[in-house]
Amino acid sequence: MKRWIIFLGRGGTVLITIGLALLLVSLIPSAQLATSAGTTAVPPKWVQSFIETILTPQQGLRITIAANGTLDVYILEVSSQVLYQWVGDDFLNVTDLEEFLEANPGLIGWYYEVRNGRIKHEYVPTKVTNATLVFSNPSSEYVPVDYEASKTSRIAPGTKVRNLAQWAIPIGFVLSLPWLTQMWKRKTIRKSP
Amino acid sequence: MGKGKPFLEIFASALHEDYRFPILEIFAFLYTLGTFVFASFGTFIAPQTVSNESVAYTLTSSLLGLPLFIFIILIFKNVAYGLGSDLEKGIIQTYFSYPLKRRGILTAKLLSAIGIALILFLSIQISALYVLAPDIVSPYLDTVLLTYAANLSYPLLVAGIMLLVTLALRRGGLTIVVGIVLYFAMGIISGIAMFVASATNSPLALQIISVISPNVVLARYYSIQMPFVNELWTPAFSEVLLYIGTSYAIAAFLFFLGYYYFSRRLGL
Repeated sequence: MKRWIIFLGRGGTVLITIGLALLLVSLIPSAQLATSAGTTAVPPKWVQSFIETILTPQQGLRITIAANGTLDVYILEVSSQVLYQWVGDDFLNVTDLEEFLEANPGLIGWYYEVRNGRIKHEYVPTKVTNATLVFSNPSSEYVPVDYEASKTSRIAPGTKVRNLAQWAIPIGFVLSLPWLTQMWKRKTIRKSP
Repeated sequence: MGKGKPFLEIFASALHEDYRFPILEIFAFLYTLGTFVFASFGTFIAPQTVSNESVAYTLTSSLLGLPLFIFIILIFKNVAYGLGSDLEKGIIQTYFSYPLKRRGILTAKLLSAIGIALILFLSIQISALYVLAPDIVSPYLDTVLLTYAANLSYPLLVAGIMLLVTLALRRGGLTIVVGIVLYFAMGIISGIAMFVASATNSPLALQIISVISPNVVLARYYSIQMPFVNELWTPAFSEVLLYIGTSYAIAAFLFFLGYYYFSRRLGL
């Protein structure tokens, strides 16, 4: 058997097993660590910060938010203490937040504008970071909000790992096909009388 | 025939022996799974109190438990059993008939036994780390590599001892046992050194251990950046590099002795 066929074949089988391990990792479900839920009404042109936690790439923040009005939802990679210290006040309005975010655009972990509806999202950072859930009401009316946030724990970022597995397994199979075919042919020849 | 061809012949033959199907595949599977399962970022009171460098170190160290032991099993098997059975069965004598110096033969064998295992281990683990935490691994790749360097020096040192024992005994079975005993002995000795250092209030025991197992000095170096840890010894970064360099020099010396014995003294 030609050496390059063996080399590619073994490389392919290694890729398949790596892909299978990644697939297995992606199938391990995440665990819910702590949940916080509540109802609030965000005053007009006002900003409120809620859940504050420390996240790692193995921990995520799963949020469900329902708002009757227009609401900007942020997950900021900073503690609320830092946010209020930067503003220099105990209260935050929309302009303060906009100024803070303009000065620190890298701290926006996730952003979504809710318009009379419900959203579900799971945020997982790529580094160890603080995470603060912030509601900003840009409208001139009170916005009632129902929220639920759970801290989750996982082994690895599921989607990313599954995508890698979905690439690795077929590529590995293609690479190993000539080697596996030749191995099978050899076995058949040996068995035949 | 040039020198490259016989070297490749022996290397290919060693690869075939060391990584028979599905050994390589099983180890690749275990490395991948182990990297994700054992990864831990530590516990944080506030992320800003711990540097990202320390996080990179903690994360990399967390992976070096069972996956490192699996890697060690593979290299011990390759060095002791692979080379030992070749000596026992007289395959090495066949290699001596090749137009290649003895050191070339040993290099081909060790490249297969240790080099390929190391490439597989590091490439899988570092890639998996990158998937898990790109914002920690990318900017602190030097810390990640330094942690691997510190943790791999002792296994390589034991592999060097195993090479010498295998060459002296010309069989591998007993050598594997010697290697595993030496590997676990270091865990016990480190524990004793830690106790002695704290009892005598002197870091001397830790410094002696760090010469052959520099992960001790690296752990001390990164722990100084963690709050509420009472430090007995706070080494500088240059000290860390010195200890890692010394441990690799000792490992290299053992391999040099192995090469010397194989080239000059080994009579078959």
